[in-house]
Amino acid sequence: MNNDNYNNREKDQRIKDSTIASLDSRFNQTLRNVQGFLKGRSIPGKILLTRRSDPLDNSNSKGNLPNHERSFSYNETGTSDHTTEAVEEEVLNTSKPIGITNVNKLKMSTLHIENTSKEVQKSSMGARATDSARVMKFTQALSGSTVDQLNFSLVEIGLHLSLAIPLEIYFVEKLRELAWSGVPDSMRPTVWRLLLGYAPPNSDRREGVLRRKRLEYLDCVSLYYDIPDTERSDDEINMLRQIAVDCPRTVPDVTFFQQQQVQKSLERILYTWAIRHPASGYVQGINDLVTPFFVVFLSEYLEGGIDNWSMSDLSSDKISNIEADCYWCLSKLLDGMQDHYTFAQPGIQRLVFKLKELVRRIDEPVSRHMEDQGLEFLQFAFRWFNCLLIREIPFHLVTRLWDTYLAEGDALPDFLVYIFASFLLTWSEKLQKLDFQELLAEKAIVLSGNVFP
Amino acid sequence: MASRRRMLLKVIILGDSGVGKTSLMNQFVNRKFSNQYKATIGADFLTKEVQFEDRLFTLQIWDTAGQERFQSLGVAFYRGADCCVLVYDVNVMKSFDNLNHWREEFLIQASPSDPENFPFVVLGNKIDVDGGNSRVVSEKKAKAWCASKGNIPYFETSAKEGFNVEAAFQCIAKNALKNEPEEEVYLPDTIDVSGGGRQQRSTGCEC
Repeated sequence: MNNDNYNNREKDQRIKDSTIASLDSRFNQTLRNVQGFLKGRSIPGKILLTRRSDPLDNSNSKGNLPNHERSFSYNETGTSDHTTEAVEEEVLNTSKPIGITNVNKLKMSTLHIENTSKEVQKSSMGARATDSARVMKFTQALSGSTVDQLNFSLVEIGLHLSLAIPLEIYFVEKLRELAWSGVPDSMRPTVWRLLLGYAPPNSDRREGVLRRKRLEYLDCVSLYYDIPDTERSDDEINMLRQIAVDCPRTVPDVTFFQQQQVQKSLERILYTWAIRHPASGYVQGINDLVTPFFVVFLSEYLEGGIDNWSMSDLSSDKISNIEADCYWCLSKLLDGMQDHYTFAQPGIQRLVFKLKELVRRIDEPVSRHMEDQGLEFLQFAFRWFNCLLIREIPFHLVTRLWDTYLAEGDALPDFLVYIFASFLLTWSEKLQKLDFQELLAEKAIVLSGNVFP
Repeated sequence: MASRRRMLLKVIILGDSGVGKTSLMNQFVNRKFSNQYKATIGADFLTKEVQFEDRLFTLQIWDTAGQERFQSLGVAFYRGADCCVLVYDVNVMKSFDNLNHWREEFLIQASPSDPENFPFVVLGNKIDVDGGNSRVVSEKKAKAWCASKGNIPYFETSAKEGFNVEAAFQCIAKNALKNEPEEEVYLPDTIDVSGGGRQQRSTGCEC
């Protein structure tokens, strides 16, 4: 491990610089990517998975991971060379969102010789692994330690030393890069905990830290939640009441969430979080934001699909661990978005403004049309930002979308702006034919079913 | 262009979280009740055609979020409203106590041209719950409050059973319509904030 602080700082700065430099083109890519997936009428997961799967490589590594279900994306890739889809494919092809791509590229370039015409893009964007190869990479990155704790290849270690990047930072960045295009189900809980900085990258310390954090959550619950109302302030009673009203109507279309125990768990997590975050307290919609964490961390303990899950199969210890993980991960997620939920929600107002500006600059006609119709961005985009699109896409796709969110890390708020802009731009022509009422109704439709059948 | 442009009436539904605003709107528009509604974030809206004295109107109903935190959004949603519906749950005292707050908040944020005469309608919802046994706000009490605020029309409803919902919205539409001509007079005041042509369209001024 390199302990030279100066070097590290310099390195960090360099990473930062290159990130900023690539930001523009990255957003550009992202934009077209999301458009791509909208046109592809499928989930975001396929954006970055298309085309890369060269059949040879695919068949070689398939045997390793029988459970991985990404096959839907291969269907798309089969047609990728047809002229009609060529442009879109090219865009999909070159997408590579995260900073440290060069490292990855070294490894990947042997697997994939790009045949895209965009030479420039290629050099900076690197190649994309096939599904199974990617699962292998996740497995490698996450599996138990042998020689070195993080189980990187010698090449990577050498690389890390020569670049003087601290191993742990490198590890998380690498994970981030992989996770952006989707995390295999079985690894999602671990990966999410790492990406959010809840679990430490150092696997030797991981269990200990988690144990401590989970105990801390338990303490909070007994301190704040498990007390009589007489010991609560009026505001706290109101907040608890609001949470109790919202828990039964959280993801009501998924029967699992109707279980009493599930709602109780959500209530404990949300109330504890709210008490510990007095600047915002509980805001409606945050109940939605716990749910992806809840199902992902439950999936470590419960078999099969969510429709067959029962909370009563779990010991109270396990439930409390799951709640703790949800609590901490929610906290980590919202740490970067605090002012989205404080009084007057300035963070969301700001993003809505950015979205409006962005759309105006990219697509003046649709922007003017909305203005002519008296449609305000706040009227439709507020909920998108407040609930991070959970309301707008089918629940079973949410965790996949969140892989990308969590990979974005601190850049998530801006990333959201670009996702939403690409929604509007994708439907620009259609939207321009609609009047105010149709527009509002249409946007609800665009985001709730039509696009994601 | 159609020979008769349909007039658009904008209605805003306000009230505490969980009193049944979304359910009332859906019961009226779709004649359906569901216990699967999610908490409203920001606001949702639905439209319905209503007929009055041989004329067709489009009722644009805005269903708002009940949590206080979202009230800063009010301006974006309240503006241009022709009628404001205040909803409380007859089984929850606090939701009734808050009616005054909701009314004042609306008047501040929507700043209608004639606040004294702006049409409100009050609905006491969920009268079906527990056969009426869990009720804590009496009809008398509710009516007294309505009378004190300039004789606001009052209805007791059950969105779940569809009871009195149609009648309530007929009254809402009628009151919204009464408000509409005045709106036209004060049109300049309303436009300069939004900068948009919605009011113009909604008042059918091109005909």
